[in-house]
Amino acid sequence: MRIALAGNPNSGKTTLFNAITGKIEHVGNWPGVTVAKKEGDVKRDLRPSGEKTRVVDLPGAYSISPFTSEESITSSFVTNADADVIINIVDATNLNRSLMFTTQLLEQGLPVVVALNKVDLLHKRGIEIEENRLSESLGCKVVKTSSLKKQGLKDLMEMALSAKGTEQKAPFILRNVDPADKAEFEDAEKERFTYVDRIVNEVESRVTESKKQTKHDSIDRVVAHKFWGIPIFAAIIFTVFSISQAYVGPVLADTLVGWIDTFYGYADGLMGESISPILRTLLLDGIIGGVGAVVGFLPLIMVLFFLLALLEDSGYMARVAIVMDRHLKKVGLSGKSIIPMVIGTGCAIPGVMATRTIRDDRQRRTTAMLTPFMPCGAKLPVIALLAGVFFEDAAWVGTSMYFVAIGIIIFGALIVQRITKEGYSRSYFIMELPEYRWPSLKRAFISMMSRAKAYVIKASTIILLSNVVVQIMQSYTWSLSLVEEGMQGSSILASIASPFAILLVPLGFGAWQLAAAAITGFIAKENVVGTLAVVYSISNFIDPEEFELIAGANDVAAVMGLTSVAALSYLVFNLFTPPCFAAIGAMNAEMESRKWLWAGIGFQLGMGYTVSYFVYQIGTLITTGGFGEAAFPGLIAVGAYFGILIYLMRRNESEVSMSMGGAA
Amino acid sequence: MIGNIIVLMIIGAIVGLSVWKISKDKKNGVKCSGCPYSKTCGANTVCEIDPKLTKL
Repeated sequence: MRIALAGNPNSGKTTLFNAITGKIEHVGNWPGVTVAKKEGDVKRDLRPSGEKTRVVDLPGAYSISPFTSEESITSSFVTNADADVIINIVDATNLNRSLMFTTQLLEQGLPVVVALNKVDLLHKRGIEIEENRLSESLGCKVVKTSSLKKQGLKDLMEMALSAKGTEQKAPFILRNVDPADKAEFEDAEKERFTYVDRIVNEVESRVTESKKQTKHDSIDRVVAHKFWGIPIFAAIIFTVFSISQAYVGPVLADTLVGWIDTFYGYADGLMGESISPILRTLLLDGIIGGVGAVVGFLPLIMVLFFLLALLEDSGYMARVAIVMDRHLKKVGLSGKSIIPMVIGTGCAIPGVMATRTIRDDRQRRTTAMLTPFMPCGAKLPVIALLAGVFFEDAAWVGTSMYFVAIGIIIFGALIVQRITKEGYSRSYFIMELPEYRWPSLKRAFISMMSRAKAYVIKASTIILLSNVVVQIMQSYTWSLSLVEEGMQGSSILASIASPFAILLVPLGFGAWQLAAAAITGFIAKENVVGTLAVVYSISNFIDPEEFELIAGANDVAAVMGLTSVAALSYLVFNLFTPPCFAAIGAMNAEMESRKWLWAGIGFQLGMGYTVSYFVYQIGTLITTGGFGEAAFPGLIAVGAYFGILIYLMRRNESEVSMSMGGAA
Repeated sequence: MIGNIIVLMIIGAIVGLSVWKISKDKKNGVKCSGCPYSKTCGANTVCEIDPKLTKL
């Protein structure tokens, strides 16, 4: 048996899906989190008959007539009768809007059971709904549920299982109209609205006035304010980074790194001196050290994701979308573009995938190109490493990276708008703001553990293999003889990375080791940390004192040959150059254009190089009074990049003026 | 000598497990081990979706 969960965005479908399947799919207290369908089996205690029951969580939709690709998934699934029963999740606090979709579902002829969800909020809002009368009016079963508090799930599943094979009649059938005739279609839909309005008046009574300003409205007036919104967002992100990177995170990380160090020492002692140096280095530095260095940041990442999950669950992130909307509109992006970017702070892949909610091709492709600039979870160890070692865990480093990313996104959108010559077009971003609520510690914990599991899997697969390859390439020369002590520059790795390192001299980090780490970062950004651990033979990045011991100097910078300014430049380069290959694959899928994909990669590469160049050169000028190394060659490279951008923009302008002249 | 063989076997087992996990994920449609949502289809791959509907 197959049950589909369908309903409006943010009605609680994925939360219900998780509750009845026991899965831990990502949920968010805002619309648009689910962009693809997910499947799972109903838990055994919710299906007394024992019959295997599959549940499909569909993306939220306002209408059976799809406007976006994720709505089309829902529409296609429902109209093709791919389910035996549909559970329509209805937001009980917004009955009027939700029932528009319900009446459309009922027209499809499949058995429908309505889950009147979020009933836990009804009392608080002074709303009463007579579910029996609603059931009679709609001609289907109605069950009151709270997916968040797991109320009514057993009744819901019983009714859904018993509804299989029953006939479904529609209480309202849209008269036969030509969808191409907009006026006629709208008239017909108005009839539906009138019908729904009548049902709601019959079954719902509200004590509170909708015009009355609630405390949520008052909070929104401050946090979503056009001037205060951004400083408040900055303060919140700064607090999140302070807690995760400077206070709680490092304390927990110290313990974990201590265990890793102990294990390293134990393995070292166990092997003794009789083991071949290459095998010894491969196991100790390549596998234990390399993976250990990445895993060492796990507590910092976990604390950060825990706090971000709390923020998301509270409903605040939806307000960030509203705050940013007015700025993105000015550079030709849709207000919807902000949702992929906020999702991209967790991982660029779902962020890029979320661009499919944007209908306009140019806006969707531009958003897919710019979303990877947001610092994702994989970039956090790189931020934590460089902020920890060079800036004493300063929270401003991580916070500023978010705002540099937003700046680059706005600048990038402006450039793309000029190149593609899309004139100013008004776009309207209508987003239902979810209600503020106390975030659930349990949900945040589950979200954090899910991220942690993914992080460990990545560290023990992709990162581990990369480290092994890097270690082997570092240990051998091209003639397959072992690299002699102090002759690491003759290794395969050094000979591959050195030509790239030359290009990076104007950015302040011309060492082949740093170039090699940046290159492996394209496989997965955590690799930057793993590779640095392998090439510098360091397993403990959490405790900077270890650097001093290795360097034999008092200055931490001596280990990597970096100044603080160059370290910041290196961080910027790794954060704002193209993302990992998996994210590039997602860009390819959503852009559906090789031309856009390659243009996007080129733009990201140029932008990362340029920002990094200016950070290093201007930073060096401020701190030392003179420009850094290779300032002039770097300026030529940056100039060439901007020259190409300006040429593309001008070419487009002349094409437009020619076509306008021709039209005149 | 035996020590070297044991260490080599340990390294081989660790690397082998990693490769096995990645290839198993690939077979299950997970394009990137440890990446969230990497099993989900892209917009233009339209798994089980009517291709015409995705372009509406």
